[in-house]
Amino acid sequence: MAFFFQQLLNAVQLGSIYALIALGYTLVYGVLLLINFAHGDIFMAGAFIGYFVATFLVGHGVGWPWGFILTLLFSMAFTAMLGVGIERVAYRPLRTAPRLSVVVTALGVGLLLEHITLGALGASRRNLPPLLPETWKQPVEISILGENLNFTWLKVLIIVISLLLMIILQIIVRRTKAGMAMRAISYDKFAVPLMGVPVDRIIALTFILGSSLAAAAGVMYAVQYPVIEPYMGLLVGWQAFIAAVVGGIGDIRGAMVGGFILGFVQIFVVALGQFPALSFLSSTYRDLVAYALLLIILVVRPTGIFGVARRQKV
Amino acid sequence: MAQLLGRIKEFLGRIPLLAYLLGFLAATGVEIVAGQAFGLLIGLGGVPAFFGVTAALSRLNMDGGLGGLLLSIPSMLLYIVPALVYDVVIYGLPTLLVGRVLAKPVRWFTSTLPEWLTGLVHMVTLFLSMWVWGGLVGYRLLVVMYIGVNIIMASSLNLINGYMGEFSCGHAGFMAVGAYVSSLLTVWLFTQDDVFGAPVLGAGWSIILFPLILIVGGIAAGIAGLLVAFPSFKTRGDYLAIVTISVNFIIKSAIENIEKIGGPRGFMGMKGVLRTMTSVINVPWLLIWTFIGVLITLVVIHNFVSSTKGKGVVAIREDEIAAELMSVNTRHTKVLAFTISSFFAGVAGGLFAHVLGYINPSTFTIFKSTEALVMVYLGGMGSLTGSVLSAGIFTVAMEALRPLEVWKKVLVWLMLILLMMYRREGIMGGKELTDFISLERLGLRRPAKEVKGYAPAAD
Repeated sequence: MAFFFQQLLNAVQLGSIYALIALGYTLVYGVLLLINFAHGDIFMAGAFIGYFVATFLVGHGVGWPWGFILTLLFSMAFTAMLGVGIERVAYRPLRTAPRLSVVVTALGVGLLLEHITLGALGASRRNLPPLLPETWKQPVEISILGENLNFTWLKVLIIVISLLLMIILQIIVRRTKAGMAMRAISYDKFAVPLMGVPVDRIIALTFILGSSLAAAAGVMYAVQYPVIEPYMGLLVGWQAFIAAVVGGIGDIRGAMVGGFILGFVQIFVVALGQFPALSFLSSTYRDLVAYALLLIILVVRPTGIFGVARRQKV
Repeated sequence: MAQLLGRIKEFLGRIPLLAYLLGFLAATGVEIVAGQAFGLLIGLGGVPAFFGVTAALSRLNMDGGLGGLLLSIPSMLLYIVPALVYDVVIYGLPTLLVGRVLAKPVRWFTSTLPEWLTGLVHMVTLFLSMWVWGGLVGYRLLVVMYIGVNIIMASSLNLINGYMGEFSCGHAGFMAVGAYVSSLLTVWLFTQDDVFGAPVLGAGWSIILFPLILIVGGIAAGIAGLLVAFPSFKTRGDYLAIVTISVNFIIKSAIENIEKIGGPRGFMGMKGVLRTMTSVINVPWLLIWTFIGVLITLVVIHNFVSSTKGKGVVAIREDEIAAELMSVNTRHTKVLAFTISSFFAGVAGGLFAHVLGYINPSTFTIFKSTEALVMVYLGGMGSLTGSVLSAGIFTVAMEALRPLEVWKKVLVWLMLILLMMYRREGIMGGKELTDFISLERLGLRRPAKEVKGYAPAAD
């Protein structure tokens, strides 16, 4: 049982990072019906921007907690600008183009970001400077129901921040006028502009929200797993994309649930490999299982868990 | 100016294709005789491998930051001028001269002999000029074979993305299947290997069985293609794109997890297969099979999309529901299209593995798939000649731009984005090359005989 709870905690922590990124995919899809393949690389850019901000702040003697908070906020702000810029330069001219052209463009933008980073900063892995007190990364043992459980405060921090951001997002989407406009555009994108909703501004807002969530995920990922590299968008971003599809792309609850499901699946594939009977499950099967899950979901229920099928009119 | 251009165009247009090919063959002869000396004379230091483009770009200083880069531009320009002189003198003039001289005899030749014979002569001449040109610098031969592999990749992907209008983005996965299956077979059968031990069959068999093994690799890839074909019944558009991408990841990840064939470390030993083949008869086997593979691919895909079944593929692109109402069996057609497409991707993979001599699961990632996409969109969707053209341009550009290191990739993706923004229909714009220059003019088809006594009706 202790083993289960231990892995559950890991899964929730990984899942919350996935969920944050998946939200970005899902928000853009909801409004533009565009799979923003560049989103994984926006996550990567967020992590790199966080790295530079953190290095600057730590270099100027800003320590815990302001160092961490400012890194998070600045990274979110800059990455949001990047996201809006991409939308303005690459996606807006193609808004009336066939959908596949836009998808190809999105793929191209992602790979472009990746290789620009690679060319400008090199392939070497970087570590975030210490933003948190060292004790936060030390395992703490507590006992729940007579079972000993190890956790780190860092994991708790990541989960709490992620949940906080998700709640804020929910409030924006459900309770504000802009959020209502966003939902309206995803409901009917022809009638809504006629009602006086500034579509361009709402789309920009969507990209701001998605990109800043990705940046937050990037910074937290960089704190938890201290490797930042140009290909992390490919490695982590695609997993988050699976999460978005599994939950039902276009649906915000779906992205959250999908993120946690994927986190569970991946953590438990690796964890179950520790049992002798299942020792064939090594950590290299993680991706295989994740993508197989995606394939099955797409074949059985292409709209995901929460998604509603859009009817094609003849 | 316009008059001059018109005259140049007319001059070039009067020379049939075969005369150009013979001219190029003659130019490679000139290069063999005089290339080295001329290159030294004008200060190139020998025969430039790629018309001087690679050598010129390698003058750029990529490590010294922006200042170093700007400072190294003059030295690149200083190299470009003699390289241009070399290209004009060694390639341009002999090609045009010989082409002009031979234009008349070639016209006579192509207009009297049967078409299959002139076609064969074209192919042999093309092959010879590739062989001679590539033989001079070993690296060129490699690039010529890469072009062949990329032509197969691009035209087979064009069947799905261009003709059928679906968005397949996992072509490299099928390539991986073909590459692994065929190289495992050849290495097992024909070479002494650490994993498989002594060769199973004698060296003589390798020559006969090599093309069959490529086909087996293709069939394996075609079966893997069913992984995409079946989901494509229900899912379309972006969702199918996701399916293809995940199939690509799954194949790569599965290969990585099979330790016996090297796992993530990759698999090698295909150079030994080639040594076995050349030890029997010493001809460039791989170039021959790549060449034949390209021809077969183009013929099969061209004939497929012109067939009744293949017209269904285009009908699905235009409107799937309407196609179904018009009695196109969409499921059957989709399975067929995906299987053919991934079959050829597998053949391309088999050739690629033997050209490179070493394969690795991380060769066949989404980057490779996206490169195939770039070629398809560059050439134009639904244009086979466009795919051939763009595969050639893309491969040569990739090799020539090698000195730019990572920035080369940046250029590729930038090109993809700009293509999507400004010229979605690609170079050829959905047309074939033969829509611009007729086969008669190229000398590939005999001109239709005029029927005497009938005047064309005046409108």
